[in-house]
Amino acid sequence: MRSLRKYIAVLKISTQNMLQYRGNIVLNWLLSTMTLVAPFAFWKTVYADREMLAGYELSDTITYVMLTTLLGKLLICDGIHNTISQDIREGKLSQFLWRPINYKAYIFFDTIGKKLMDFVVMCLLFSILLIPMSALGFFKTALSTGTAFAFLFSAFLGIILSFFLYFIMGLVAFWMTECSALYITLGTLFYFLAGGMFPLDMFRELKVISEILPFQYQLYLPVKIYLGKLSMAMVFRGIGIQMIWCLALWGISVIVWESGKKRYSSVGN
Amino acid sequence: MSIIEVNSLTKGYRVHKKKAGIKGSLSGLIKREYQYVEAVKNVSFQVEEGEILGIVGQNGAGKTTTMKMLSGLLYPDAGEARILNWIPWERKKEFLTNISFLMGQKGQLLWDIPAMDSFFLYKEIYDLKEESFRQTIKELSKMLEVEHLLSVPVRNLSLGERMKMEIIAAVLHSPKLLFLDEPTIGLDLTTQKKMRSFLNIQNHRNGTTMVLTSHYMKDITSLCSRIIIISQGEIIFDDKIEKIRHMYQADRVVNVRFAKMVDEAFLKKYHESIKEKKELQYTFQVKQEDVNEFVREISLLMPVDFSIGEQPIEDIIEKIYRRDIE
Repeated sequence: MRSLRKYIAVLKISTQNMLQYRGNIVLNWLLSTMTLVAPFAFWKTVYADREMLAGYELSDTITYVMLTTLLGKLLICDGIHNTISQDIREGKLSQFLWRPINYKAYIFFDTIGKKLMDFVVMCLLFSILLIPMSALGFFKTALSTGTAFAFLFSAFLGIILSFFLYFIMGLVAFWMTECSALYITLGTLFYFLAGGMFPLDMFRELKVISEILPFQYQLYLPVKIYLGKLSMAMVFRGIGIQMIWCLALWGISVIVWESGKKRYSSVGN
Repeated sequence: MSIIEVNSLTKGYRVHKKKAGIKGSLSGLIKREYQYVEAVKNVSFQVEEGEILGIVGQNGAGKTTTMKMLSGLLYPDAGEARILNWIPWERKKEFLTNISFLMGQKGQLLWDIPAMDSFFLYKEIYDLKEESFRQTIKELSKMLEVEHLLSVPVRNLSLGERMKMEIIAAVLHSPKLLFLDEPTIGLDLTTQKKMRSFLNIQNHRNGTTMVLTSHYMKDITSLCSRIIIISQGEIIFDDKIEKIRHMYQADRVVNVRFAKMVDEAFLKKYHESIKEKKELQYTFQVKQEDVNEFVREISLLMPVDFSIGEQPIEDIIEKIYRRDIE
């Protein structure tokens, strides 16, 4: 309990930190609205001369895209790798090594704290949009209790998986002082592979690869569960794979962290 | 009881060697040449509980590397260290809760929020009691005259104000051992003085052991009972400060002001000893055994003002560095 209090404090602080810059917050919210609405126009055009695309009706796609945009804000831990590599490069990591606090847990709660505010606002925007959208039949909201439960659990695993993934990516900075090139390229690729841009099953060729790789289990799987597009067996299988990946990435993160720490030279003076 | 025990600690770095210019940069992309730099060589010493130890040395001498190993930030290549009976780089919780590290060149408080918010975080990290936490903050901030700044975002503080907050953050959990890496760098004289008296009080009242590096001799002389001089990764002196003067036969500094033109013959004779000259004000540096004779001669010249003092510590230390490098 004690150590939990420690990390709740981290979460509070990072939320406060987020609220320091009013201009940035307002801009972020405005732009977020656009990211929710913009795909709508795009997909309307794509569906202009067809009813179905890879088994997706227009309303399916719209629901998918809106949900991934919204959940992506919470689930995908994109960005923490930048913080981590900066902490390592500039020696800010030192403080986390000589104080009795776990860096991994710190970063995790810091991330949640930062995301929370964004997510809440996005949810508000989303629920406002939802009314006209559902009325027009563009958004599907038929969730059974079982599906809802599976969705929440899978979303939870998604954020854990995503966290470890980007955490490991940040730790690369122990070996490569400057990794911005790596991050820019991989960042986009990772988001695409997570299903953040298109429903992944629109690309049949990718299916085999993306099912093996961990990326789609961050976002694509929970959203698919929400859409009710998976059979019970598929849901269980998906969640099973999610769990395995979580464990594997956790293990890798421990190994990488331990050997990275030995390389750390806590630069500067 | 020794709080710190260090035995033949050694640490080196691999540094990428780049030739100058674009050509050098390009060839560096293909074939990297590395150079192994030994930052700390075979260093051994002890620190007793309640002691304030100063580590002195030129930039790159290995002071900070030593402190980083002792605080568990770096793993040594060889040798051992025990602090409060813990091995620092194992970073056991009991070890971590008892140490602290203040870095003059690197802020540790969160930049965008007030210092008080960071203090709250530290309170949870170290599991401090609410009441005593409030009490400590009140006391320390009063002592450093920053009570009114506790709720100002750190980025809006001046360097001096920020360092005062940093030092509060460093001692908030009453560590038994405090590492200070150039704590007064860049601060104005008043703030430096304030910091020093604050540290002295911490040491007296709580018995906090401190290990300090600084390039300001005033920090060293007014805080440390003992100093270690490091040059090129090796300890070349480890004793009480006063011992330096004896060991290295410090010279005397004689300040003289003459009323009118100075006797040419005298100046010629002591030409070598003139350290500084400003109009009719002269500063001579004279060997201890020659002082008597020097004073006798100079008094015949009827100076208007005259004083004899000890050679400043930094001059002696500089001499030691130079001798070591040669």
